[in-house]
Amino acid sequence: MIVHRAWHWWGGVLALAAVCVLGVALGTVRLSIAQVLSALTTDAAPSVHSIIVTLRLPRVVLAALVGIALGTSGATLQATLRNPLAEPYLLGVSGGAAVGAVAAMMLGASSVFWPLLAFTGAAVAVVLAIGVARGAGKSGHTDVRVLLMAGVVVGAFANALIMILLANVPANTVRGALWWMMGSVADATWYTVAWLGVYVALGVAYLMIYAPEIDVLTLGEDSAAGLGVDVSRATRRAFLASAMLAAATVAAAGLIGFVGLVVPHMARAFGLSRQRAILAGCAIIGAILVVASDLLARVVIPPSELPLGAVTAVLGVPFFLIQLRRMR
Amino acid sequence: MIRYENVTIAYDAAQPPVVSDVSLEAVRGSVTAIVGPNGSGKSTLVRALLGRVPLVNGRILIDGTDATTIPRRELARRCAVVTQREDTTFSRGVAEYIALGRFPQQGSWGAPASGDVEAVNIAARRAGVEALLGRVTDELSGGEWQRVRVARALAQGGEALVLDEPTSFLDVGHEMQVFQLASALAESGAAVLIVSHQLNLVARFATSMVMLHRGAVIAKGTPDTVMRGELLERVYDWPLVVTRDPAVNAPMLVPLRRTT
Repeated sequence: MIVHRAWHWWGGVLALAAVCVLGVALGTVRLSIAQVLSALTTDAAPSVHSIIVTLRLPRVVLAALVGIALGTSGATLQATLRNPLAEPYLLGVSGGAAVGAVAAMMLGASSVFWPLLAFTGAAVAVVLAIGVARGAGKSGHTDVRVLLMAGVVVGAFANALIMILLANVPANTVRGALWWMMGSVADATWYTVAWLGVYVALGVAYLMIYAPEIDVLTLGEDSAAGLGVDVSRATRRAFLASAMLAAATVAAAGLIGFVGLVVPHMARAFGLSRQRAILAGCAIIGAILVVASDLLARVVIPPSELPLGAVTAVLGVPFFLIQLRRMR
Repeated sequence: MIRYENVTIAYDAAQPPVVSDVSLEAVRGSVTAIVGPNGSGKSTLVRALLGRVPLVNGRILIDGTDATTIPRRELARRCAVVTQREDTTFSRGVAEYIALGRFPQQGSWGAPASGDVEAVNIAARRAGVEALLGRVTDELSGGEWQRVRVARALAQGGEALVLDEPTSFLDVGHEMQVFQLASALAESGAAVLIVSHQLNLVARFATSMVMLHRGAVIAKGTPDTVMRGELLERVYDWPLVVTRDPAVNAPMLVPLRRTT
């Protein structure tokens, strides 16, 4: 087990800063680091300023916010459900959001409303899963095993609904839906960054406040109850907050898989074990992973872009496989 | 200290209760043991104390106050419970694990309270796990893990300790360590309630015993009162004799071979 050191934090922050600067500098039009920094501090050429401030910077910040949200959401779910394979998308969030977004496309709703309907779909899926778990638990307790299974089943049902919805729609709608389901931050605007930023700040602060309670939940329900935790309420609270964080990212950037699963394992690989430290680590690592993935997605075969969700998986899978080999 | 009054518990109103009209008491300065065959309702009583199963009837009192009226953290500060099972999904340092026992003492932000470090060190010393403080939980043997769990409970700082089958899967040396620790805690003034299948160790270390059978108290009192051959044969449905432990003269159960 690696013992985490203070320099790990500084290393993580510097790595995040570096990948963000590269994310702004690199792309179809390559800019120098000096150009990037000058655009942020002084007057730059209008074209350079436009590329940086209007296109690249919101994109990088949105990617970072998505990474922070998915990483902290995954860490909370894994600890609360005591399951190292738990992740937001396993629990019906992605399926519910996708149903909402596909329904919006089919109804011909303006793309402005897609995030709203995606968020609504995710919220319905999460509330449904919690309702099932609460109903199945003895004497009103939320059974985490049932919660996990309910999430999976709700997700499977949502996927079936998507297939039914897409069965008889024009090819363009199918292509749009598929691209959205593969995730992207290409359409980032400062407006999206602003609302997601507020959402992520509130959500992560909430999870940070309750982190010690989640630490105790990892001991199991009876032990947590013995330490004074209202297990059902704490489980629902953590589940709801982390699922809504993930839902917000889905609304802002579509489905970006694997981040919520792999980032908490990366944080633990650095020796982090207290939930508050894990959340902070996941925020940094999650942001690095998504910003770096987005960078790769647009520089590998310019001017075309790879789907962001596929790149995060390609980067995350090797790490996860190495971790699995190390497991005893 | 801990008092069960006419407690009846049912998981489902349509089914017969799993515990019926149980009354018992664990007082300060003593080790009280709940014994009985598998499925007799021992662990259900512990879970009822944690508020994890509903009482159909009766009540559980902590120092004379109904446990359901005591705020959860306050209850945890007064009474620590080492549950029967606890899985460590994620590894953490032993010192950090024991420090989780300080959760009931901490504020809502979860900032460490003054004296937390000292409380962890004292708990580790009392449980005999000081040497393990630098290790991580998934490197511990079964016996070490059980003692570390007891240390976490001691870190809670209460005057009552409930141990639910703390010697499961332990060898004889580690069993003795746990029971000696329970006895020492009682001698220092704690109320210790222990659920166990180890009748001979219970008879040796407990001040009083409560025998459950099919959810009801079938006998209680001193080990000499409860450890009677005909009673135990009936409860465990197995031929046995009760003799005396040659070392300390406590009653000792010896199971026999059943002749068909």
